[in-house]
Amino acid sequence: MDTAAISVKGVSKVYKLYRGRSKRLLDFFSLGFGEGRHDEEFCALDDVSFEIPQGTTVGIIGRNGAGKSTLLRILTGNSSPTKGEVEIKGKVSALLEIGTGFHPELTGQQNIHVSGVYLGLTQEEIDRLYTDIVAFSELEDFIHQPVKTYSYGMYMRLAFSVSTCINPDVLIIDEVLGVGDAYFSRKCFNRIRSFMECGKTVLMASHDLLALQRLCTRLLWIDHGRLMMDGPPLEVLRAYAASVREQEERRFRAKVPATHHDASSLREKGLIYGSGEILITEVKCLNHVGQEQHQFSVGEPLTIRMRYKTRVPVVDPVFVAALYRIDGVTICQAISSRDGVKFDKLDGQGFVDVLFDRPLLGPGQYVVSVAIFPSLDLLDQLGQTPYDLHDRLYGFQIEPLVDCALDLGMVLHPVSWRHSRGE
Amino acid sequence: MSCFHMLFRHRRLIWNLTLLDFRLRYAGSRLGLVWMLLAPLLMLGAYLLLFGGILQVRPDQSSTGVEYGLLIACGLLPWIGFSEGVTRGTASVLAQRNLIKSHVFPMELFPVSAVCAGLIGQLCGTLLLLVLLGLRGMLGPNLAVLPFLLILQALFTVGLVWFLSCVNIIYRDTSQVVVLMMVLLMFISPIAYTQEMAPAGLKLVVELNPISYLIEGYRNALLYNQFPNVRGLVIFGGLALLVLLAGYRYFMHLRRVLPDYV
Repeated sequence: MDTAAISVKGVSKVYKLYRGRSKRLLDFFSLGFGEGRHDEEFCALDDVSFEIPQGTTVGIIGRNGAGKSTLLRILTGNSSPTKGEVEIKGKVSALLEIGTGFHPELTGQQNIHVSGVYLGLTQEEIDRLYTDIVAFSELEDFIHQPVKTYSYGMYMRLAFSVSTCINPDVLIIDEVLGVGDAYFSRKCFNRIRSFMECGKTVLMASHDLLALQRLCTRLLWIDHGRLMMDGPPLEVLRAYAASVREQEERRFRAKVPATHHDASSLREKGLIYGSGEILITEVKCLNHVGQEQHQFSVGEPLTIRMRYKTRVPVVDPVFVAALYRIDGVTICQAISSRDGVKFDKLDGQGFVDVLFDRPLLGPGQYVVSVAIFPSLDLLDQLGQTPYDLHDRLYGFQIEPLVDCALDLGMVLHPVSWRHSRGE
Repeated sequence: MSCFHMLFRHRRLIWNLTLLDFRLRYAGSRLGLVWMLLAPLLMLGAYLLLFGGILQVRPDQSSTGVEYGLLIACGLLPWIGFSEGVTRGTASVLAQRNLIKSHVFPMELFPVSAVCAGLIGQLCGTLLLLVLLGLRGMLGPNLAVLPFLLILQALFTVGLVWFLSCVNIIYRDTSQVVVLMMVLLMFISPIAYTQEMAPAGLKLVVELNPISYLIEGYRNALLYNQFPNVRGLVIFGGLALLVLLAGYRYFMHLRRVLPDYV
């Protein structure tokens, strides 16, 4: 069992980028004789090494363009490494892009035969597997129709059934889980699981982190062509999530200032309005150490900070911060007067914090509105004219849980349980 | 020799691919396989009308229109097989780009099956012609050379197409250029005329055109019941082998990197 089914040693893949076509042609013709006519190089994989023992299921994660597909293509032999060695023991089957060998004018039955040819099966093998394939796809009623009449889901079902009918020692899958409806998706899932149970080696790349976590015993994380981490799924997923969060954060930061500088145009659009005696100059979401942040994990303390500046002194205004779900449903409104907070006379600058010490918010995207009112009559549904109101201009995100696939809802409400036996 | 070994090892796959090629070409079309005979017949008709009917060309004074028609048919059949193979073969690898990217498949077989598909069309036409010639009592023992000619033609075309299909991946214009070249080559190939009929100025061109030897071979075997011109046969045979082996080397040299370019 401890022999390596897949062994990858120092594999690099460099793509040559050419500015002119003629150079590319020259390089192509003289391949192996002369080098260095290309203008730039792009390193899709950089010195990647790992070994996968027989009978294990390993997942590959990474952002788009990280090198996952390149790696899988090299493993299947669809591409050759620039440097390094790849060794695979046993018969390999690859699900890279499924359904690519299908021809729209041919019927489902004919396409099964065609794909069989492409998969290198003999006529007898195809005939033997045919019933199985049709049964798994559940397309008995349509199998004699041209596939151009199939719906996308039907097409994918047939494709998946054909691609997995063969019985390889090593199965390499690139992002093809979850084809068709929920029912068929589960069927696919189970088929891959049964592969694993038969002691086959499975290597799969996917963005479906939960599926990976359920299926894999080990994960590889690839970023910018480098193997960042190789270990137990939960650990790797945590590290990966943290890095994605960091990148999201950077993207957010690059985006946010624009809205700040443009207060006047936002005012024109009616997204900021009010009588203007006191203005909100800045709104930030802060983490527990007071740093600005837009990605929070479930239950992480969160503070909404509103900086204000008065034009004329105001007396005991009401500060409001409202949270909305992305579809506009109001989640909660924090109203200072309702919470019994008084501000007396405000003159000059300062800030007010709304502290969510133990937020109950479930994973998702949230939108924030902030406002300052002279007073707030809670019985008046229409609301009063504010001093200043910023309508849904801010936001933050609560990350999905790494270890839970279930939709836990919008509110992670604390409850207590009671149990009594008998009548 | 690894080339022949490869072809032999994959013979069933080549056959399957060729059948598939046919199936796909006529899938969904009403007349289906009828097209395979209809297209050459139409071309033959056009040739006859133009050269035989309007221009009144004859190989010599005594020959009739029917004889001239048979002469054209003997030239047209190998030409169609060859040009179909070359044009389809050149585009064949690129046409299967999805497959090349997603499957582990011996892609050197795509050009081969394209050439075979062209040859099958030619064979069907040849059978028809044989029946016709048989009825006229024109067939003789030299017909035995025919399979040999077919094989040489196949090897030559496959080699050429291995090279062209590779170049087509980098220079996508290749397939367009090839279509044009085929039109030009058609006119300098002795299809509607014989090598002897070519004017002195053009003789060299016709003699340098390898297809001339092929057509001449077919004519000798089918029409004149003569053993083919040995010199021509040796030249074409040598060329076919050379082109085949060079094309194979070129393709295999590049096949590792081809998926990155398609």
